[in-house]
Amino acid sequence: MELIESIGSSTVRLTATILLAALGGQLSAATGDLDISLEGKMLVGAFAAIAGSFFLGSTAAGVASAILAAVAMALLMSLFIVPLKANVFAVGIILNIFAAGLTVFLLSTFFGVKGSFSDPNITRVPVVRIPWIESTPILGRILSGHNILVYVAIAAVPLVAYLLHRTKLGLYLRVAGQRPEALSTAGISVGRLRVLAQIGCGALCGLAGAHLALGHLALFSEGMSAGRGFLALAVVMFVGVRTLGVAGVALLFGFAEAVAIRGQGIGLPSQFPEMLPYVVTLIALIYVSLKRRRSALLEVTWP
Amino acid sequence: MANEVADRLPATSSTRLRRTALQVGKPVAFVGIGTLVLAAVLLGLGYPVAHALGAAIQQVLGDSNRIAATLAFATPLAVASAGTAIAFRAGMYNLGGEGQIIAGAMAAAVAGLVLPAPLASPGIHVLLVLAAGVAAGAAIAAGLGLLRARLGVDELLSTLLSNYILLLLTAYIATEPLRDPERWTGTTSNIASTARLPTLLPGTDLTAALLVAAFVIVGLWWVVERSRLGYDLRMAGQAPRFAQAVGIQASGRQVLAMAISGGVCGLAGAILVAATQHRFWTGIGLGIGWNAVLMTLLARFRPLPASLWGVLFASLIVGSRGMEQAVGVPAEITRVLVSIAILVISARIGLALVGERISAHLQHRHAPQDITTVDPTDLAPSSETNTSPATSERSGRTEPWS
Repeated sequence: MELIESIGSSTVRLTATILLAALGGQLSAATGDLDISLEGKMLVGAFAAIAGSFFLGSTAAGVASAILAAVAMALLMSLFIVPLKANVFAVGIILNIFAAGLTVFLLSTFFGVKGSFSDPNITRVPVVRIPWIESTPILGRILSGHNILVYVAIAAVPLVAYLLHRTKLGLYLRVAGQRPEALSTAGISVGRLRVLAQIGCGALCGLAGAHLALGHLALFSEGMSAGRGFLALAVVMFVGVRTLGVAGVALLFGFAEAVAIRGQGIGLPSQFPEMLPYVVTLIALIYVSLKRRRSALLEVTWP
Repeated sequence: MANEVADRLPATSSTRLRRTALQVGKPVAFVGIGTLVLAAVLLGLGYPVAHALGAAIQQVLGDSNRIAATLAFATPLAVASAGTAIAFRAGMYNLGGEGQIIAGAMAAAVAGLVLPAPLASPGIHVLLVLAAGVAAGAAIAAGLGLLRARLGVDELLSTLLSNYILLLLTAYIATEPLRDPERWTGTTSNIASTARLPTLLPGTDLTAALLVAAFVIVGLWWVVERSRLGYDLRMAGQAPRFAQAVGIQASGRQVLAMAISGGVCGLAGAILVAATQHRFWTGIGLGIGWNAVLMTLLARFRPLPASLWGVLFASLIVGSRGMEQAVGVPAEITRVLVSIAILVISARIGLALVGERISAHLQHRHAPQDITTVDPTDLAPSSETNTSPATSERSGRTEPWS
């Protein structure tokens, strides 16, 4: 019972990181500029969260700095892909490398340390206890008592789904990805929509970074995003813009990560459990490809 | 744009001149922008600019020993860049250089540690060590290439994920079975002396790795740009439908390109172990694979220019280390500035056009398709049309359902 509770609880917490980044990726994918620098934006967000809460003295300021920093990255990206017409993929790769270098550089410039930084004055994002659910036997431990950002992530799923599929703006965003000429003809600026999608993506990645740095430990370490941005990218590649699918796949990866963390305590060499999320993603990737292939074959046999 | 156009026109003397000018101009612009921004940042942070830059140049080119050290440091990146480029050229987006380098390094370390006496004789042993690195990298990349060719598993994502898996797997091997008990955890013992590449310039790190690298890079250039196989590879990457029409086995060629790419990246890892490090440690070669992707993009998927960019980039990193020692500015600043310089160049010169194919590829595979029902007649244009000048005004963007 304790096992279910602890794995369930960390699943929810770890899913939130991937989920926030994946929703951001989904926004960027809607306008056809699938962002492969989710990883870098998350990392910069995590650093800004720690730096912001250290220098400004409040956790809220830390979260706000994380969002601002990641949005700044998104604006930089927009500058290159929209007016300067550079390629999204190339810019994304460069930004990932940029983020890895920048965070290490700033870590040693601001805090004079290499590796990681934490400070007793930096406090974590406050925890929320949900009144009725908390007293429920198992669900209480799993669903209640997480930090605010976890609930923000959960709330973001229907919000992004609503935005993309039920609002005019969402329709425009998707049309910007699929039929930019149609929007131009209607006199709507495609470039502005693409920038908007990138800003949304940046903000969500910033939240993911803040959750990473301030959600559980109140610490920044070099490369702490550790491929989670790429897992989020995988989520978007699996489900496209179907938002509810994002939650399902992110939950699977979050679960794999939770099992991985739990598995480190049972005597196995720590590297094998750590591999689990990536292996699960790879297997999911193969599975999805097989399924797609099969449906393609079926289409041929049943015209 | 001009760059791309110049490449397509027949090489008259004026276009040739222009092409040369652009090829020379790009690295000059790269170093120029980088240095200017660096000077500005140093000034802003209050470091002595002239002293710092002087120290950087001194570190890269100061004397023959320093030049040797720079070349030795640049070798693995130059090799890996050429290796990454060949896969991209064939339309396989191998982002797994990082993992293939680490796997190559581990395989080389294992071969350097465990091979028995007859194989571990001078001359043969080091070749086997390099071969082990090549084999490891090639096997991984070919496997992922096969998954792509047979099952349509996106190699972009599978290679990305393989990096993390390989990093952890090799970390395990270096921590448990092969750990040197007398060293830090995550480090193997030193490889046998017969497994090391001989030094070219006594007292420096410059080894025969330089010759191996030169041979491999020139070989790759010849294969890609001059051989029949290279033609097939290029067509498979640039015009898959054409390749199909003229009877090129595009997917088979792409798997081969992945194997070569992974093998060369594995070689870069083996060189790290056999030339300078002489053992595997967790984190060896980290970042080289990503830098190699950058070089590949800068060189527009051409192996030889990618290696030359690699040498330039590595020199900048060496220079920044000199700067760190002299005035204490963190060496990471180079990576930051170089990425900015590359961003700027990417917007200014042709990189946008290079990426077009990748974008089209991403769009093609992952396009959201739920917006409206698509009229089948709209499906006509194929992905090759993306490389034609007829693409819409938004560079790198095509009809997602093309």
